Amino acid sequence: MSKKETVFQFHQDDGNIVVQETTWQPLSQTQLMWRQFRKHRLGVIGAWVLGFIYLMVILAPFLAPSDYMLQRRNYVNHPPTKIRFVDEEGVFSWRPFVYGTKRTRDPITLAVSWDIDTTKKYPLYFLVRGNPYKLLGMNSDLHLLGVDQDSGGQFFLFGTDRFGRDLFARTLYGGRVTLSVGVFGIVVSFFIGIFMGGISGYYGGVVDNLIQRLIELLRSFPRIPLWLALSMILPPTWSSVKVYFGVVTILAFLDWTGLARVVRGQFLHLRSKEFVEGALALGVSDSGIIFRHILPNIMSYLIVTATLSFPGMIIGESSISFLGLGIKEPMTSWGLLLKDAQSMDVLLMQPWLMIPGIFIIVSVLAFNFMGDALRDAFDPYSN
Amino acid sequence: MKKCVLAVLLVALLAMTVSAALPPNPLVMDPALFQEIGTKGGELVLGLGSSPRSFNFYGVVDGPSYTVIYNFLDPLVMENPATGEIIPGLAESWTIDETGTVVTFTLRDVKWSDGTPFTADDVVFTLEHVVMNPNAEGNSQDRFTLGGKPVEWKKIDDRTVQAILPVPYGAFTRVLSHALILPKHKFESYIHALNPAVEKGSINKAWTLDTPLKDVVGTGPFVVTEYIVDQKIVLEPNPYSWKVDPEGNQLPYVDRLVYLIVQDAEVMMAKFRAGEIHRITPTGQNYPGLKQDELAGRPYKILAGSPVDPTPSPPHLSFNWDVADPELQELFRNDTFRQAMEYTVDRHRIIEDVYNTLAIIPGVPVLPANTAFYNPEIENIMRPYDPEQAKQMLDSIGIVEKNGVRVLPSGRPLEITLTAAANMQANNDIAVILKSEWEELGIQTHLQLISSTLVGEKRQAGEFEAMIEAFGNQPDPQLRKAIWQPGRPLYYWHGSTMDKEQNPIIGNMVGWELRVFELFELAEVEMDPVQRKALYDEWQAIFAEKVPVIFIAKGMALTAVSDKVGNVFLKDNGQIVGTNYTIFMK
Amino acid sequence: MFRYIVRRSLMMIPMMVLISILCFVVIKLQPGDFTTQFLHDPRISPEMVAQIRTRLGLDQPAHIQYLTWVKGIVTKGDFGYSFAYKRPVHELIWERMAWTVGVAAITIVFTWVVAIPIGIYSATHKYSFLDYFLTFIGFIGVSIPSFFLALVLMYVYLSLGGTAVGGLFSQQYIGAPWSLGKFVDLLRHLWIPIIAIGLGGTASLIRLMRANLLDVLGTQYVTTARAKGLAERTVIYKHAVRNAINPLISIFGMQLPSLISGTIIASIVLNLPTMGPFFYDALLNSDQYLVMTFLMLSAFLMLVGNLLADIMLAWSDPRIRYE
Repeated sequence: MSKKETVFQFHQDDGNIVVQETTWQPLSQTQLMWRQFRKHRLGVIGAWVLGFIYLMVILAPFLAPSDYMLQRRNYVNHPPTKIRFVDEEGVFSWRPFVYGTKRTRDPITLAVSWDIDTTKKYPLYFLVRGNPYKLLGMNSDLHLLGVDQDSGGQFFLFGTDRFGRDLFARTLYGGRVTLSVGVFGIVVSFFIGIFMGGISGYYGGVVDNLIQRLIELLRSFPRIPLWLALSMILPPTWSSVKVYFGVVTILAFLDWTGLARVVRGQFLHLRSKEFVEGALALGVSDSGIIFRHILPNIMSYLIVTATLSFPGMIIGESSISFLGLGIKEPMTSWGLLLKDAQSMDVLLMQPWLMIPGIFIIVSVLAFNFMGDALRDAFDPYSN
Repeated sequence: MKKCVLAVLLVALLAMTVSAALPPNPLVMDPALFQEIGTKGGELVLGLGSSPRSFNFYGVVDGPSYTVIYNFLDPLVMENPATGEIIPGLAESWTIDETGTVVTFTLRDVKWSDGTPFTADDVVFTLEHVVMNPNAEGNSQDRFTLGGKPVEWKKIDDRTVQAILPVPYGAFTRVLSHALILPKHKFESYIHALNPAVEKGSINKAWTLDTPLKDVVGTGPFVVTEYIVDQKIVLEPNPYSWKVDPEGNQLPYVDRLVYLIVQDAEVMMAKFRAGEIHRITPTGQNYPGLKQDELAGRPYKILAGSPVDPTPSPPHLSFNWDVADPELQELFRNDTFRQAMEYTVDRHRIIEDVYNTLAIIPGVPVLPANTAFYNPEIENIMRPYDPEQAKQMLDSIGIVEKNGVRVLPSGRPLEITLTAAANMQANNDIAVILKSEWEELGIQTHLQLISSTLVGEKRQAGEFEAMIEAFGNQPDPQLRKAIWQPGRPLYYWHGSTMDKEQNPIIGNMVGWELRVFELFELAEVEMDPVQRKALYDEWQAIFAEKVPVIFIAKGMALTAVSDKVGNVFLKDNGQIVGTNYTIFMK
Repeated sequence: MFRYIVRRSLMMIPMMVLISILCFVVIKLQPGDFTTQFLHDPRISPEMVAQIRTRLGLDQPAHIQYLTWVKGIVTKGDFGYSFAYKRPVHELIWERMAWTVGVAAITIVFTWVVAIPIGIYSATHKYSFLDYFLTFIGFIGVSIPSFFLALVLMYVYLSLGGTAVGGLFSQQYIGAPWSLGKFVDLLRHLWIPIIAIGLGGTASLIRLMRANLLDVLGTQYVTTARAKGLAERTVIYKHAVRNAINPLISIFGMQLPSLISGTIIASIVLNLPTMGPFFYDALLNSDQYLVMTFLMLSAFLMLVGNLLADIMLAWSDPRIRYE
């Protein structure tokens, strides 16, 4: 254990704040946390995965071989295309290729099947031309990987949905919505929750009483009638992202109460601890006490709660979409994509529609492992 | 020889005691309903999409309640489940006088399930005090009011009832087949007019779900014997049932009819696959999976029959003639515009992809299988998918394309909001497909996909531009007059043909609408079936030509049924038959 | 403390009034009313709909409707009448109470009984194989929506030849008197709902318990306690856990209303005869007095839950002062 850690540990020692405040250097804390964070291997992997997913959704138009809204009536419910290096004759080629497919409908079961047509072979190229898009202020029509757009070949990495739209493109674009607007909602409700819970627990008395009653009022608020009312009022010409953004904000203003209750409990508890009373006696300001002494102590709880609320947000969004709020066709989000996969017949006949579900699970895992590592990094005693 | 005679006598005697409760003149059901003569016994388990709200047919407007109630109550005349034709029900025969306004019914000699005789009093009571009761929430006042005057009912004797119509009424027996007769002795105490001690709305509080089930009596094949809140309803055979199979066996065959209440369609399907539920109505998307199971030897089969039932309701596309924007209003009222839009509807693609091929091109809106009213002429008028034609027609009315966007004569881009029910998969998917077709033409399309109740609300308020809606088909166009006749409450795409008091405003109708209005009025009082068909044929031709609404597709009748169930089968003409009282368990 | 409890209890009365007003306003903001659904039926003329509205009192101004309803409760204990079922609201709710509370209680007990020990184990055996394993399972549980998990479980169970899917009993046991067979049948059905509804909550609780306990285990006084030579068990269970459980107390208080509301969507998917789906229907149909009564019941449970949580907070840490 290094010397700096010892100093840091000292900081938390009840009643010995003064010592800590003079010797403690902000830089060392960051370094320390970073070291602690890196120790948590799954957390580091989580951070990488998350970074990768964010990069993917940001680069969606470039990575996706085609437009996410384009309907192809001849390629409805097409399974993922297999990328090949070896052809039917067993000849190996360095350039990957895909085969063309032929759709047949069984006359009795009406089930659609796709047969590989080995006479049609489409090589895959890097940086092919396709639909034009705008990315980070640049206009382009280059796509990372795909077949020559004039060859008539099709390349669906994740298959297509019931309108013949490329699921890979839809997953990436859906991720843009879920990972931006959704995360924004969590952040907003978090700040409100911590703030309200904090002052409620810290000051107590009348302030506490008022805030607690406000929380009780908000918690008893029936949501569905509110959404129905909103969905009638909002103009349909608004883009779905705009509507969803608005809804998420409202949700954030209603949903902070659970966190606030817990934060208040923690503040009440910590407020009466010796180290806080000591700091008060030494004339440390309220904000100093809150930010320097109390908040760091409940950081683990906050981080874990934040990362745990991520899946709830994804699911919550798909349920408001049903009421005509939030994201609507042809725009999409992960929640909506998962909703499309929600039947036993899909599990049986079009299992590839579950791929967006894997993205949800992976990013939830990544968020949570990263949260875990962060928690450990904030927890000064872990070793 | 003697022994033989004795045996026959014994059997006959036994048969008499068994069917002692059978009325003297039972109704022999159409042999077309029977694949084979069934055996008695067993338990038929069906699913119900949600809890019924009441056992009172006229107290609620609620599908699950109706499903249950139709098992224990009967109308005077009924639809033959095999053909849809009107056949005798509680009335064993009826005559119409030469003026076409006096209909005399001879009632069947039957008993209510509690043993009380069924008489003319029950009929007159039901029609006067319940069907025509404005306080009953599920009343049928409108269907029995002609030219502002109600149909009068008179008891001649215990077994004879007369209906006096203000004017001749072609669809009279058809609407009667939807009027179930209630037991007067159980209901009269709830009627304000007969029992002033109760308030006017009391009729709705009769036969709620907490009613002791021995009081819920009927004349139908079954009686309710058990209700477990939100879980199941059990019905057992009515000892006085008056329907028999072609060999004279009293129906129903099964000992118990159980409705399991299952809200979620997936769970319903799971329970069917697990063998717990014996029969369900799947969707086109379920078909391949079930068929594969069937071929793999699982103990059930799936049938696809030609559509005859009101459901699944065929979706249509409409444009609001009374939309606030004057330029759009003018456009939507333009016949050429709507015809052009019909060319953008790719019915074959929709049938292929949305319905998994299990749908047909609908009528406008009379179903092709409805030979009594269908006008085959419309097949030559309906416009097939042809986007090129649509482009030319739009150009011809001055909606031209500039930089990939169609603009209105004022130079403003043409933008249309299309409203549809998000929770009805077919409507939702059709809207998504139309959006892509329209944008291909340069029409900017905004989708408004909301829950079906909200769609209904927007529809009645006239707050929409274009809409995908669906109304069920009925065997007789008269029953859908409220929808398809201009100036009626559900003629929603041109709401200004009706004033606030629900009266038609003739002046606001365009030429052909006026003719449609007239056709419905004429057909209502026409008694000759051939003449009635001719009138409705003309209406269908006008609708096909002027496309006030564009009909899209009609899903086929699908049923999946366990191998344990007998008498659910495809008839030669491709229709599915199988009613709860002709089903037997193998 | 006693004075505090009395004061908080009295405070509930104005709170309930305020909440009821707020809820009523929100319900009235919802477009349409109970009669709107009749507009879909060609059998019923809009004129009829207007008559029904008058009879149900829906044509009166909202504040009159509200006051009439409150008057009924105060003077006659009458919570109003369900438009859909034509019956008194309290009867309808009462009919569904047993199963609702039953299923919710089993799930809550399952959640806590499973989560707390695992959380403690995870925290005391940090980074062990079992900790990683449980963490992983927990995260998977958190990341799959309960209704989706229910669907997948049913699908897998069904393809393995199982027959007990959906609901709580096989058909023949519904409404039958209790017997060993019925009990076994219940158990065969119950595991899917418990896993589907409970897994998410359990996993969250495990994470929270683990995080809190790790915090506490590092603090000075635990080190002191250890230094004093106290047995590790005593240190953990007597000191650390008691401190770590503080935030969970607030969560527990908030769980009380879920006794009756539960997870609506999961209950629908699992076909449970509970109040959740029933309430959801009533909301969509604007069966307003049924909705109001339900909301009030749930608000009352929330207020009680919060009060209990505050009392428990004070018990777990006697230094907390509310005054």
